[in-house]
Amino acid sequence: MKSYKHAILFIGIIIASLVVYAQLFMPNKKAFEKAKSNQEKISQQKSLAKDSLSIEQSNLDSLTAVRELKTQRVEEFKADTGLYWLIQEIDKYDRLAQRVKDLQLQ
Amino acid sequence: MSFFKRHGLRLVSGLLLVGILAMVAFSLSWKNNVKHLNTKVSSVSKEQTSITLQKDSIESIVVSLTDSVGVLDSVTDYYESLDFQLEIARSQYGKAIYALEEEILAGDNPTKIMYLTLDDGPYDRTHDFLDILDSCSINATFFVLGKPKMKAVYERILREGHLLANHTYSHRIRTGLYRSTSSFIEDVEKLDRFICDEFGLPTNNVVRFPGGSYQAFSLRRPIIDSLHSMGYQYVDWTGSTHDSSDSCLTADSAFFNATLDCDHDIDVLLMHDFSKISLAALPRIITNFRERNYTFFPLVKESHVMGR
Repeated sequence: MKSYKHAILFIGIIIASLVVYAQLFMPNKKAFEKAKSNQEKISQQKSLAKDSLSIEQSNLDSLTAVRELKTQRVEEFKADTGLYWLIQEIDKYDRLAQRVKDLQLQ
Repeated sequence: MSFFKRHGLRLVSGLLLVGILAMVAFSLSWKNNVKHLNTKVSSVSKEQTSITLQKDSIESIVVSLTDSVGVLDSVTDYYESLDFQLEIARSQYGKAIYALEEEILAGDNPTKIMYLTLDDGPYDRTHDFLDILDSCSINATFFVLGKPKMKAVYERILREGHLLANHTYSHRIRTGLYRSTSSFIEDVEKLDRFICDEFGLPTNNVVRFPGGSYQAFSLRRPIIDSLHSMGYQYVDWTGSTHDSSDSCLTADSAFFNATLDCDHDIDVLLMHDFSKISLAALPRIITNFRERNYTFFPLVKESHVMGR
């Protein structure tokens, strides 16, 4: 009778351990592994985003420097009075050439 | 042996219980870790999103910067091409003048051409000449010297559609200009440098010898050869008001001198912008030439009158 009781208890414990394993241990293990892999993925993505951010930042820096130089060059041109006279002179020669051509057409 | 027989089942059951407890402990710890990791993932994900947003905004700034650099490039290219454009415009005018003169000389075109030239300026009186030229809508050629204090007059000459030509910087006929070819050439280059420094422009590459090319006597040919090798042409004149040589000159005689001297299909009229008498005669001279079907143009080195 006593050994019969022990056998029942033993089977009960086995069933309980199977239930704990299937319902608690395995899902939590899987969830943990998934969370860990998620963390790795997102960390990788973050590091990629950081890399491309730093590339864009360096692009921005070099373009800003280039633009500054070019703006300076344009400002120098603008400040150069010769530019005004060059444009005037080109216009003058164009008008003169047109006047001569008009006479030729007559 | 009998111990295991008696207590084996209890022992296994005990071990299984310990195993169950261990599984529960692990499960709880993983549960906590999962919670912790998920929080971490969500914060990293937020960081990543903000980095991506930053990157996107920088990317759009980079695109607009690239555009603005492109615009600046095209502006710079335009400015840098102006010298070349001036060369093209000048050569187109030169070609047009050459073609018109060819027609005139072949008798195919009844028009005559008058190149009105004013030497030795600028002077204050140049303004009075410019007023008359402006009122008659005539473009002339000013064979100027180097006079740093007269910048405003050079500017007015340029602004009102006339051309600046080279009459040497100093006009030192009696004090060394014709001492050697190089002294003459240096003076020509000095005037060009002066005009270039002041206005960023070259002159029209036409030179007139102070006093005329024969004033250079034996140096005339070597100087002309040097000028040609440097891309210059020279011109004298076909008629003049004689305002620098005739001390008894009147406006009437200046008028007759100019209109009688210039009786070709293509003429170059010389006067000086210091001369009050040429100034007084100028309106009548212009009217007379217009009545004789002359059209006034400024000189370019492509003209047939070069070397005359």
